[in-house]
Amino acid sequence: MILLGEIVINIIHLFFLIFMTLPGGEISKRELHFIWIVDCSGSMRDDGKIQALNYAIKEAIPHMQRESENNIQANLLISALRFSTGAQWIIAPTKVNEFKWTDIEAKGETDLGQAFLLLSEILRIPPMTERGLPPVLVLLSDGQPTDNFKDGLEKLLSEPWGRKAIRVSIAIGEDANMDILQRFIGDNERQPLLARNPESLTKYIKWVSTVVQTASARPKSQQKNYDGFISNVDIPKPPEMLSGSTDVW
Amino acid sequence: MISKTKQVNNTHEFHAGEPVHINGLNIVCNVEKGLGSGTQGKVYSLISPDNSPLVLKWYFPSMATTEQYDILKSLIQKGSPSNRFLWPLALVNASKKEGFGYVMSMKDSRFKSFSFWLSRKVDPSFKVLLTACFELVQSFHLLHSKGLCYQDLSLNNIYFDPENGEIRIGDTDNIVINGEDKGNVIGTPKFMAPEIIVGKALPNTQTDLYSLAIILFYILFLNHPLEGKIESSIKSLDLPSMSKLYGFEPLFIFDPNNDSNYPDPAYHANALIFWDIYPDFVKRIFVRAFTNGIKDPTHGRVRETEWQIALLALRDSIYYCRHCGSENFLVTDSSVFEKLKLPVELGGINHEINVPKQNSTVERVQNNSVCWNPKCKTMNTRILNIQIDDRSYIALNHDTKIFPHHIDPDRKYDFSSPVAEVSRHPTDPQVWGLRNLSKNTWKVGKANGDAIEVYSKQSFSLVPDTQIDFGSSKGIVCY
Repeated sequence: MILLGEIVINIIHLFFLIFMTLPGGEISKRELHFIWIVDCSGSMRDDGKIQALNYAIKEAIPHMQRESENNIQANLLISALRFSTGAQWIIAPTKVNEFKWTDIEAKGETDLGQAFLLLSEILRIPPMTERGLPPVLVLLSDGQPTDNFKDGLEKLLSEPWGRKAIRVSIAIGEDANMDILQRFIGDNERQPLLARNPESLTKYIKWVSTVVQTASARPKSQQKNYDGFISNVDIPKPPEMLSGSTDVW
Repeated sequence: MISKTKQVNNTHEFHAGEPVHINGLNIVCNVEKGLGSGTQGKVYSLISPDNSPLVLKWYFPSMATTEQYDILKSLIQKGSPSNRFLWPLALVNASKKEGFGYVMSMKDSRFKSFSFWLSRKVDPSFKVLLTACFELVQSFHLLHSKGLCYQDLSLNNIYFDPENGEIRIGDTDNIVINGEDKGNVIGTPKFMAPEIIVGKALPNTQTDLYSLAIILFYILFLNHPLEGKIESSIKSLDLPSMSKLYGFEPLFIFDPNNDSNYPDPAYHANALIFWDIYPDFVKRIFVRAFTNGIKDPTHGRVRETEWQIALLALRDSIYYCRHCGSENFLVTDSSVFEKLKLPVELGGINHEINVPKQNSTVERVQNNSVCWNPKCKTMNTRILNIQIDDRSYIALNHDTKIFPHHIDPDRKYDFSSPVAEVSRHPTDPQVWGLRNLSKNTWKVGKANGDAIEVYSKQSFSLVPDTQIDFGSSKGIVCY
């Protein structure tokens, strides 16, 4: 009878069980820095480009948040850097769930080199963590650098984390200097994405903020021609842009 | 200025409300909304005539290959191995759209991605997790026994119900006949077998077995089996370092012969905590999966049937701590348990595999009968259980049910309806019994030597040394 009493106690445990959790904690994740590098030069005022950009990034945020929810590997931190006359950090590294985009305005020069210099200062340990994932750098520009971008780029690529970073560039309109955007990417396998209209800009921004994020962080299915030796991170193909054209920049 | 963005009219995209003719099912649905896009295509929810929840996956033009079309055709023809798979139901072509797509059932919202568990956003019990693991193994066993291979098994395409452990398997459109070398995926990095990463193999059923073992370890230990000290010493986990860690130099964190990748308590505390909780037979099977299973992809991997036995034995051993109610695992030293040491029973097995000794950085539970809950640590003794023949034992809790699986050797893995359940005496709540839910009459030998018959719907008192003849097997109540 004593032992049956033991089972009796078990019924009480049914109530306990509701509150019982298993031991341990969340799986340990690595830091993943995602950095927007945004051209705010005067020419971005033309044809509402800056408005389209503000809109596109805001549109991408919920998708970015949802994508990172399924991420078992990365703690996504988003920051933003703007360049026009000089360059400034406008958003410090922020957890994806708390990330908010404040509309930016366009005026001034295109000091891309300054932006690269500023970037190179943070792409080292510290301030980067000892245990991270390759950062994602997304450059958005519509024109020609007005300063010495070469030195800046060189400095950026001299930092191990700058070299290891997934670098993506989006040209806003036909006037952007594709050559420079290509040199930023460095990898000849991939080309800058050319956004000819607001619709494709929105699409590319959504793509970089979800798919590219997961290429660095959550491992995605890899295609059969995968070759683990060439690139640093395997990046899926950008969305296919077929003529759904609206206004053209 | 820019005018308002017009309706997307790409030839491979759908907009809300657009009709979709599904000839294979003889119905016309309407697109409800886009659910998201992946690397292969875009997925839409559909409004169907009978309100059955369907989704449409439409491939990007570059992914809409003839090979993919043929794979889908063959999968639809074969039919789903079980309702656990979100299987293609019908191909879809649309005259004005480029490429093709297919429809499948939508998974119910109660199914969550396992990432919710790994991020501790849901709070399942061990019983639920083990049920989910068992269902996964069982489903892939079924798939593989049909000669099919999944190719891209990872935590990204499986889902579970945190309430009961029922699972669903998505992304079934890459499933091919094993060895045919079709499809355009080779896997997901942390889940890919080393021989694929080093370029020696393409996905096949053996590599599926490896991915399955990774998933089981992730679910039960909340850690990747190869992520220990070596991983935490890597500053930037990029593709080259991943190829090394998971492909060229894979080393199990609990490798008994090499502790250079032992978990780092700062980052891999989960692995250490859970390693201490599970009984030795569980540790042993994982050691085999990630030592022999890595060295010898053809013969060294743990088979699904072995996982099934181990996972169910573990689930049957759950008892609730008498003090705090936490689920603990009963380890008996009886001969029955000796036989449960899977490797011995199933052949092909290394008797020499020892479970590695632990260091003392994290507080350790020495005895399995001491509750693992750090706030409790109650010593549990005399845990009531029933041993069935010399095969297995089941810890008896207030909510324990016994199934044909346990008592009928011819009905292994049959959990359709219980044959017995722990029950309470109708007038004396102090008395617990085992109720006969089967149609058969049990012959019960009481501890005092008396023999009684227990008919359907009747119960007998659970007293140690009581013997039960279920017909197909015999049990004895122990503690």
